[in-house]
Amino acid sequence: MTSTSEMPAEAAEARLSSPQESRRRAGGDGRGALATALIRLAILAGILVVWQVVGDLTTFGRWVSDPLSVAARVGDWARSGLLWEGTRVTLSTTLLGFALGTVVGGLAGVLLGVTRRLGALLEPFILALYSIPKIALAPLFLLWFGIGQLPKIMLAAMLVGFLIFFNVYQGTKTIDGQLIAIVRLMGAGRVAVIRKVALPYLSAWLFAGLKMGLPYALIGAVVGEFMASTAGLGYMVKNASSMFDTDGVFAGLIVLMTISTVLFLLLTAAEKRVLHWAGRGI
Amino acid sequence: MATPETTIGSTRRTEGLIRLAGVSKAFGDRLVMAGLDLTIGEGEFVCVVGPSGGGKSTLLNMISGLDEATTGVVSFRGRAVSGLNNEVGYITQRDLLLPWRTAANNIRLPLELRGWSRTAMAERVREILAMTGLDHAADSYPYELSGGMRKRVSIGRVLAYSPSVLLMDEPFASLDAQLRLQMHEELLRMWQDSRVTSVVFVTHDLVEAITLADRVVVIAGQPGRVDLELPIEIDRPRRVVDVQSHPRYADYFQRLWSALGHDQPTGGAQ
Repeated sequence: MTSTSEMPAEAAEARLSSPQESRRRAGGDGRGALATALIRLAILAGILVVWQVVGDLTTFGRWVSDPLSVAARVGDWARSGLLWEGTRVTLSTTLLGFALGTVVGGLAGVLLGVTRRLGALLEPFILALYSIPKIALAPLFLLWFGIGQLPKIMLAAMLVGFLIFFNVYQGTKTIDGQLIAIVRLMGAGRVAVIRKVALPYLSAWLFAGLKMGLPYALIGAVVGEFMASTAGLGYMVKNASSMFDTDGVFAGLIVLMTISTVLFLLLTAAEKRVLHWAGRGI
Repeated sequence: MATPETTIGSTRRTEGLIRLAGVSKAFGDRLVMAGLDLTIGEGEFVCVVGPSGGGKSTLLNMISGLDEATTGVVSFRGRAVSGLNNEVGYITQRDLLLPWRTAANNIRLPLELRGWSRTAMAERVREILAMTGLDHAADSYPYELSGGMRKRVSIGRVLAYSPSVLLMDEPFASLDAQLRLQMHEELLRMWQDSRVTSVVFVTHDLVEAITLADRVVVIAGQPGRVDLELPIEIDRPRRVVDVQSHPRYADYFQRLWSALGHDQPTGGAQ
C-alpha cells in the first residue's frame, strides 16, 4: 500500500534487529536507556566474576581459563606485536573476501535477476551448488589456490558471495511490476529502469545480504587459517589449543569477537546512512 | 474550459483524441471485453464506472500501450497504439513513489527520463510543487509524507511532463472521505489549469464520477461493453461540495444506478 511496503522483508527484519531498535524495545529513551545499560553492565560483570571463580577455584578451571589470564595474554600479544600481526592477517583476509564475494555475488544476482530467463534456467544448478556444505570445499581451495592467503580469501568470498547473490536475486523478483510499467510510461528504457529503479531498490536487499554475510567472511578466514597457515588469529587459536593453552584459545576468541562486533557496527552505521530513506516505519 | 460552450462533453468529444473501435480483449480463455466502442475528446474528462471484472483497468492499459487489444483498434491521435504510449500519464490506486527520492526528486524523475536540461527541470519542479501545494515538503521523503501528500506528489509527477491524457485507476479509493473530497477539488483545479489534458478516470464511486466528469461511461456485462454514456451538464468550475445539491444530480445518479442493474435508487441519490 505505502511506499515502505517496497522494502524487502529480510531487510526489514535485519533493521528490526539493529541496535537502535533493540534499545527502543528494551528501555526507550532517557532514564529507561540508562537503566538498561546499567543492567547490561551488571550482567557482563556477573559473567566475568563467575568465569573467574570457576577458573580459579575448580578443577574444571584449566579447560575454561579465566578473564584475568585471558586479559594478561591479550596484553602479552599486544606488547610482542603478535596481536597486531594476527589481526592484520585475519582482518585483511576477511575484508578482501567480503569485498570480492559482495562484488561477484551482487553482480551475479543483478544479472540473473534482470535477465529472468537466464536466472530461471540456471536456478536448479545454483540451488544444487548452494546445498553443498561450503566449508567442506576448504581442502579443495587449498589444492587450487596454494597455502598462502589466497585460498582463505576465496573461501570467505565464496561463503559471502552465495548469501549476497541470493539476497539480491530474491530482491529482483520482488520489484513491483506496476512501478516498472509506470516508470516505463514516463519514458524509461531498460537501462534507465535498472539504474533509477532496480539498483536503488536492491540496495536494501544488498544490505540485508551484507549483514548476513559479514560473520561468514570471518568464518571463512578463520576456518582457512585452521586448515593450513602460519599466521592469523585462526592459526593462533588452533596453535594454542594444540598445546592445551586455553588462555591463548580464549584470547584469540575474544579478539575475533571484538573484530566481528566492530565490523557489524560499522556496517549498521553505513546502512543507516545509505538507507536513510527507508525511515523508521518498517 | 470554464466557458459555457466547452463545458458539455459532447462538444469536446468530436475531436476524438482517443478512439476505441470494436475492441475485444481476452486473457487466455477469459473474454473480459467484447466489441467496445468509445471516443474520448481532447481535454475531456471521462469517468468510467462499472462492476469489477468488466475490463475497466484493461481499457486504461490498452490506451497506454501496456496491453494490446485482442481484436479491434485502439487509436490515439488517429494512429493505432503500438508499443508504449509516452503521451499518457498513468496514476494508480497506490502512489508508487520511489522511496529513496524526495518529493521534488520524484517529480523530477520523468523529466530526467525525457532528457530535460537541468535548469528546465528545476524550474518545472518548482512550478509543480507550487501547483500541488507541496513547496514545504519538497525535501521530504515519501515515508515522511501523509497519504494525501503522497497522492499529490504522484499526480504532480505525472503532470510535470504535461501528458495529453491522464489515465487514473481508482486513484483516491484508499483515501478517507474528507481527503477524497479535497483531492477532487484539487484535481479539478489542476486539470482546469492544464487546459489540454484529457482524463480517463476509472472509479466504483458514482458520486465521484458525477462530481468530476464531463461524461460518465458505464461499462457493464461479462464480457464488458459500453452500456450507457451520460453527459454531465453541470457548469465548470464546479465546487465539489455543491455538486450533490445540483438540480440534475439526483437524475444522473438514478440513471447510472439503474444502468448498473439496480432498480431502486438508494439514499445516496438524494
